[in-house]
Amino acid sequence: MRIPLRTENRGRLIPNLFLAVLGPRNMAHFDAIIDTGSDTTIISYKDAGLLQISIKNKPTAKRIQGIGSTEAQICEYNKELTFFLTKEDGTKFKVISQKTYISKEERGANITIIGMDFLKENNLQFFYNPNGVAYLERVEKETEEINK
Amino acid sequence: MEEKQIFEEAQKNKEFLDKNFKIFEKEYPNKFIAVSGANVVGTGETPDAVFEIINQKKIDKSNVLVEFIPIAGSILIL
Repeated sequence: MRIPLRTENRGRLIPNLFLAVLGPRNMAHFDAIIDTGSDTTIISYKDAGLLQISIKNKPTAKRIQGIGSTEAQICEYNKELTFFLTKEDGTKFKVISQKTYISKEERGANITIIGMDFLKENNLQFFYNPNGVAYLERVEKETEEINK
Repeated sequence: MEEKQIFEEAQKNKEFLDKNFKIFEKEYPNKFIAVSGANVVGTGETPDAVFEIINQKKIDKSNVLVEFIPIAGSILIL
């Protein structure tokens, strides 16, 4: 089972996909990038807002440091979120997550990151050819499907 | 709205956003924009500013895309 990815996002060579996520109150849609440099999946502040998840009073769980001197703060979200990823036949691959991290940074690009934890937990392999195709592939057959 | 319909609406909004992205780069650099029904329904400096507009207009968050528009040519580093 394969989940096609886009190889670039508006001219930038970044593997990404358009996600649907079901939260406690509603479903939201947003872009997410596959980041092999991140061991943690992080929902952006903006995308958490679309899911109507309030993080205003949540304590910082981790600090993320990047290439510069700035650091981002993230908090834990311990309620169920369901991720819908579109397979190559157009049907959806459903992943239920019980624990997610949410960025507390309101400023900046606000991009949701699919980290290596997501790939590991869901037994997904990652293939990326910047001059060709990109996809996630799951070898197991234990998938849940909904009709397109 | 049914799940299938929500997916289809989101896809239409996504296509609209991608198709017009170069225009948005010129009109809304460094801002967040909200797209619903293949129209720009709000812009703001922060996600919360955009959500406020969405709430005022009583738009269901399941039917809206909110995206940051970077300054054209800027490099994205995570």
